[in-house]
Amino acid sequence: MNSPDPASVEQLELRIVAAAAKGDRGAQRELFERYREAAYVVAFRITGRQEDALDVVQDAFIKAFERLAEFAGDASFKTWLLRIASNRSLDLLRARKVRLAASLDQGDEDGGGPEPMADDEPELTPGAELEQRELAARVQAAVDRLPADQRSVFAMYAAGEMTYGDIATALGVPIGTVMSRLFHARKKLAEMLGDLAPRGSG
Amino acid sequence: MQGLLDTAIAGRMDELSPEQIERLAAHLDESLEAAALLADATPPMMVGSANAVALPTEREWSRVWSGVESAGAARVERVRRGRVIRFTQSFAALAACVGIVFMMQRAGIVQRADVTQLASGVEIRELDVAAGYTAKIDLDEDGGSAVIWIYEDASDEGV
Repeated sequence: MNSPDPASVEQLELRIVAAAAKGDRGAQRELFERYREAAYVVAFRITGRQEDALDVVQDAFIKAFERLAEFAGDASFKTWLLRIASNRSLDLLRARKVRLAASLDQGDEDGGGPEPMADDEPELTPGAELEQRELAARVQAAVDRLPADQRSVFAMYAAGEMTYGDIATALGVPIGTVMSRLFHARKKLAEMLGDLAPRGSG
Repeated sequence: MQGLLDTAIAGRMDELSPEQIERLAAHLDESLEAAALLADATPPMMVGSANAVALPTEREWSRVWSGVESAGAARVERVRRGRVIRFTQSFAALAACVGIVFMMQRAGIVQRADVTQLASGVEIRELDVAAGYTAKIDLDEDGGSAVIWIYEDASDEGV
């Protein structure tokens, strides 16, 4: 079976984006359906919390649709959207650190651990579900320990199907910087999560 | 350097040392050509489950989309109200101007352009003109209308 022509796929997306810019609800819904998960992954990897990540996704799409008239099309809509999501996530993270610092001054602690998974997950056996929760928690706890700049690059990478160029455009940093930060992020995560690697993989 | 770049493009960046990565990053900053080669490459996926993220449910997605839709509807309403307010303000300003002019006309402060009332019984006692000019008043035969002529002193023609 022939795969779709990339040029025609790109043209179709440009038409959807143009329609969405004019307020076409159907086109906006289409973009939401296509890229909500990628935006969520980026937001979750940076913020570490499901509720925060959902808020970021909502804010990112709202802002993207408000500014769609400014979208020049020199990057893909996905890249542009993920940049908005990444910036919003980092803003949340900074605000949370400020609140945490303030609450620590007052002798309280904000629960900064990773959020539990959503209630309505696909059904798993209790044992498998517990294992998945623990695994996800460990992974996110490790990601949470990355510096913000490495975390945002990793989050973009984790969104999937992003080239070095896409990530660089989304974050507004040079490609060499993306490569360097991702290298160091992966190294640190590998050290923290080395026991999770399947045997024989490298 | 090309070897390092080829390794990164091939998705084997983990084989490089931190020093090699930093050298390659510096090279990419200096060379647009090298950066362009890497730009289209996709970073290698990590082994293990580092990329696994529990995704929201459809119910949660519906909630998010409702928020996006509501924000869009609110924005459309704000734009519409803004247009109505601007029109109303412009209309109100225009109406106020018309009202002021109407009241001024009624008070005799402003004369309608199509109704000109000539002053009667007016005595011109003094008429000053600039240096180099001379003024002359001509009255019609019944002493009603007057024409004021201003002459240049060097010329007999009216200005």
